[in-house]
Amino acid sequence: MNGFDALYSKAEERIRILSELPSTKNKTIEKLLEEKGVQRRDFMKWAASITAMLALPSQFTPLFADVAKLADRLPLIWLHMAECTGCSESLIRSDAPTVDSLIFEHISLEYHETLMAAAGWQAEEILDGAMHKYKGKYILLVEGGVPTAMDGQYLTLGPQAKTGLSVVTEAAKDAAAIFSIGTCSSFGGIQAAAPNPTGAKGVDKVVKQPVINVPGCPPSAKNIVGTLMHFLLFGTLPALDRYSRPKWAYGNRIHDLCERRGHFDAGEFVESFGDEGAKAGWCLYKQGCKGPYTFNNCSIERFNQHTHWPVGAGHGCMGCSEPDFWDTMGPLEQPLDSHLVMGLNSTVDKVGTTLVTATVIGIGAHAVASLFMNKKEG
Amino acid sequence: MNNPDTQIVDHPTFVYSSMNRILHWLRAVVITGLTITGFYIASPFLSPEGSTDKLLFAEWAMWHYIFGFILLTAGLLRIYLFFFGKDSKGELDSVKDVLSVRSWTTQLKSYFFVGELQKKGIYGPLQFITYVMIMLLVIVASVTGLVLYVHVYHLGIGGLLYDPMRAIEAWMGGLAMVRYVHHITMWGFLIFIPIHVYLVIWSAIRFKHGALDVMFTGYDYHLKKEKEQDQA
Repeated sequence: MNGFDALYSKAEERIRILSELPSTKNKTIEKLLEEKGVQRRDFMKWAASITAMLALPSQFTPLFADVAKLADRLPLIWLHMAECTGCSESLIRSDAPTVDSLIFEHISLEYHETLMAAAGWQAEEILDGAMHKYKGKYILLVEGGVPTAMDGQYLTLGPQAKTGLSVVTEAAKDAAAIFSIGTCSSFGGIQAAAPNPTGAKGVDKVVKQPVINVPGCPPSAKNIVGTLMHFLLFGTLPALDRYSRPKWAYGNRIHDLCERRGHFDAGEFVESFGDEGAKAGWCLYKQGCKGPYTFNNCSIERFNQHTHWPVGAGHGCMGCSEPDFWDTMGPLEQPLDSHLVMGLNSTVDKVGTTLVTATVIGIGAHAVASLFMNKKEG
Repeated sequence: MNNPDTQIVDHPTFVYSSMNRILHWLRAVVITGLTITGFYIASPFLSPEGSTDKLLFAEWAMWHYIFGFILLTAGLLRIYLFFFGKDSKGELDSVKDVLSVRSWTTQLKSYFFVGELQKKGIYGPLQFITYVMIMLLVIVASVTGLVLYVHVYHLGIGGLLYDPMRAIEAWMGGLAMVRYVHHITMWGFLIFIPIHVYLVIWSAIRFKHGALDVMFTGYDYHLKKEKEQDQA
């Protein structure tokens, strides 16, 4: 059997298994889409776009449509750690219901602190119940860094004041798959920036199980849903890069996929925000664009229902899907030479210039001294 | 010339093979080129006037890659010749100087106008350590350069080295850190070059032997030594 057939039959088998599981919703996705005014044609277009995004042949389009209908068979637990909920917002905040957000609604979301009505003891019970009922079957999505200093007591949740660290390690034990949604849960994020007083870490640093990172501040809705859909259809983890990011989304640099790339190679740069170059859409490299150091598909998938993305809107990339980007990428609106040397309020170029100057002065002093020494000896 | 062994121990006459001399000047040229093009890449100071068919940045970058690969190859060859070249004995003998406290004090004193510079190999201990550090700097610059390069060109050597270079990238903490370290290595060269040029000229005047000649002809000339031999 060739690779295509193997993958195709694997996906078909997965759909068969999922369809035998009990449904958790009393309404089908078709019904839900119809009620919200999404036509079947748009739904199929969505399935085709997911197929293309994951770099699969077009024959997989009907399979994605089928598996999306079975999304309610897959229980999901979404935990919030030290974060701003921007990642959830990226997915759910749209001007009209999108297929992505409707899938998210249709999927069996057991626990999500922002979206659920329950609070306090009730919420706690739902989480415990879901983890017990779907033991070994649920997908765990984590948003936010995990503070580890002082036994994780910088983050406590709920009426029993459980630490975020204990909640996430416990939930990870029986999860079928763990996704870190956003840079905070992937790499620690802003609370892990130096000096990191709370000892915040990415989820993969505190749990033993394998974790898929979907970094970004926030990641696009497409990257979140695409990662979910991949797991839904194949039940396995996608090809990952060195930072456990799915290759289909984080395989290329922002720079490689940038619509302003031609201006970079031509040497046409925006010299200040609002100048003629900025109006003409020139490259933002000299305005501190971190696209050359950042792996993501922002220019392709974009944000806010595919309307725009930072570089398109005229601001450089700030490297938000890279580890420790608050420390390594700053200052965000200036090129990397403006990066401050650790512990010094100065840049590499200033320190270098000072050292070279000191060297030249030292040489001069030595040369002058040599003149006198030669005379004395001569 | 009649008795090369004893001469190398005292004041070496034959110093560098032709290959090492060529490699030295090659490095000098490409490091200069890399610094200039590197500054441009870090902060492009020239812009073409209104035409995107002139790929100005891409051309500067292209020269940076060409110089970079020459430096990498020249560096590898030089490391090989350090151990296995026909002139490597004089260089390797300098390890004895590095391990000898007396050699250290002799060299440091000679720089402050006290006494002659005597050594077992062809380098003083501080000089030897400096050259080793510069070679390490070449290695760090080459490796970080390669990590950055595999993201620029994905075929050929770029494609071949993609996976191992990404491992190094992850180990260093992301491409921004790689780029930062790459930038710092350049300052290492910029600080080294004036000291190097000055001390070559200074020690030639001070200790009366051939200065630049050694890197052109391969031979070091000694005024003092000849005088000593005449007297003896």
